[in-house]
Amino acid sequence: MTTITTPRGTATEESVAGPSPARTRPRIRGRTVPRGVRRLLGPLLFLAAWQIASSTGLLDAQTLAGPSVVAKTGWHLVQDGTLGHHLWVSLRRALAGLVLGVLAGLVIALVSGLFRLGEDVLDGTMQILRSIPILALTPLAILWFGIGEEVKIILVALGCAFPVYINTHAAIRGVDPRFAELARTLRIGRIGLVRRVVLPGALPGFFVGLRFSVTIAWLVLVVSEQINADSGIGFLMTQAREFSQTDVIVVGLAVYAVLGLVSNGLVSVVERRALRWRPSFEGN
Amino acid sequence: MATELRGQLAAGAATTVRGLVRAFGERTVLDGIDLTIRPGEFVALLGRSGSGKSTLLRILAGLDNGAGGKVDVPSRNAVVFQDARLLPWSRVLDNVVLGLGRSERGRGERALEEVGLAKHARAWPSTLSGGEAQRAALARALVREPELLLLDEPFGALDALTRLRMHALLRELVARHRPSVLLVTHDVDEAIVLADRVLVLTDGRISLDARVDVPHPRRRHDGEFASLRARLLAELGVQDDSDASVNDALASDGVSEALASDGSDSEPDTDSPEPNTDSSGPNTDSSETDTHGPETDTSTSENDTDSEKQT
Ligand SMILES: Nc1ncnc2c1ncn2[C@@H]1O[C@H](COP(=O)(O)OP(=O)(O)O)[C@@H](O)[C@H]1O
Ligand SMILES: [Mg+2]
Repeated sequence: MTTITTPRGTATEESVAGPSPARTRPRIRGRTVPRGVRRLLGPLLFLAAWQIASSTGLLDAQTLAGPSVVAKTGWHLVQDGTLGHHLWVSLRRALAGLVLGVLAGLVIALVSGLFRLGEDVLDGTMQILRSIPILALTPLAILWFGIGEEVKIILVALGCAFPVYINTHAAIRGVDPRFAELARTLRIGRIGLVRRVVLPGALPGFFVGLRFSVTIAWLVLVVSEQINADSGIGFLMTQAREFSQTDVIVVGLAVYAVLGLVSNGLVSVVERRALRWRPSFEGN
Repeated sequence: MATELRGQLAAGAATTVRGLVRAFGERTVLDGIDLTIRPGEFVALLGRSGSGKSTLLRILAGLDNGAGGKVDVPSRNAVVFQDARLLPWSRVLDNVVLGLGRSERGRGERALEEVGLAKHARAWPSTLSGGEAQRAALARALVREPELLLLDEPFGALDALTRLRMHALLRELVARHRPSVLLVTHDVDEAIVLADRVLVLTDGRISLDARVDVPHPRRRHDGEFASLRARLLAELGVQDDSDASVNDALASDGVSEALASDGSDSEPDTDSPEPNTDSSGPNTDSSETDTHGPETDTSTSENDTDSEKQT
């Protein structure tokens, strides 16, 4: 039973060790297809199938409008300024909430990370508060702030503050103590230590938090705009629901997708610049 | 307890330590150290791993306030650690002039030039080899014009060839800047090649204090070198069984030969008396009393990719 016979062992090994060029590089009529184009293939096929299903009546417009209708509706909404108006409103809310929340999270993280007393007072509180899902605060927030702009900005800010706090605080605590020791031998003082060692050392952690915050900002905004608003992308979609305008709803979804992509891309660009000392970011 | 006893000396004065005691819990690591380092003197401190060498150096550097006794150290002192400890988010030059005024950048550039890193002034530390990083750390120490230079196994993590180059560089820099030097090392040859005076730390005390009268260039097969080496190894509890080997020229001041052979694949081996087992506790000393086979120098094998392109 100990002998294992592999009659075609050599052949198998060969096929594993040396994959044929055809397998690593798919060719269409002898030309290599660039990777970017290949990655677009999936979404394009999906769009085509969707369009065919809509055109043949397989998918009725009440359930989901077809891509061509969505595109046409989107174009109209752009032309009459509706989309621009609501987009601007949503963008302003998200940005205001994000800036407020990130600043608050950052300041609390610094106080708690740099001062023992600050840590004792703030960290426990923050750790308890973070376990509350932010959207569960919506009813209370409406009672306190009404249904105006403040509620939405405050909810977004609350959602954004925690990821920044948690990650920045952990990063400050995690700064290598050997660098603090070095700072002592170089006599750069406490301010020098914070400015030259602690803050730059905590920056990667801050960016991790910021990425979460950007995602959460859109999430919280979508929900709060759908609950109570008379403007914004979320309002546009809620209104469309009442008239069963699935095309407008899909336009709203597309706008959210683009906003998410663009904001994440912006954070990446800033992060790359700020952390270019990291070996993984070299060559950029 | 002894912070108030830690004096800062006027320029040109000696470093003095009197009755220095340091205990961690029950364990007394330093048990009455008396030491004077004259201005410009190069002292090497040998001792087994865990004998308290770093503890002594940290006290002199002002990094440990829990010691008893009297310590007087020149106010201008600088430390080089075994790890280069360059801030990864600051460029090399910014690391060198860290804590100095804006007007001192020119001096930082000159210090980098002295250690052969002028071209790397704007590089990120992560792009430097181990030897280059350690040279940047040396520049960072020297740019402060220290009266006392404290070196804690600064070459311990470097490969053998790089270490020889660093010895030559350090000798040159010390000759030019004339600081007092306390070099902590576990490498007997390194101590003899570099120092004016060698101390051995055993059981919390200085158990041996010897002048190094070997004329430069110091080569391991010289009689005086060999006899001092045997004495130190005996004090450290290591048997000296090294007969003059092919690598003797490399292990001493034969740095020029080492430079000439740069780029070859051969791995020259400085017979380090102990494998670099600094992480081991005081009870694993038996591993160090092993004699040094050609491949037992762990610091060499760990860093054999760290070769350097220029000096
Ligand atoms: N901060 C500390 N707390 C407790 N024990 C320590 C501390 N620093 C050093 N020691 C102990 O003191 C002894 C000497 O350490 P060290 O000076 O680093 O030795 P060496 O540098 O000679 O290898 C070791 O046993 C070590 O465990
Ligand atoms: Mg040590």
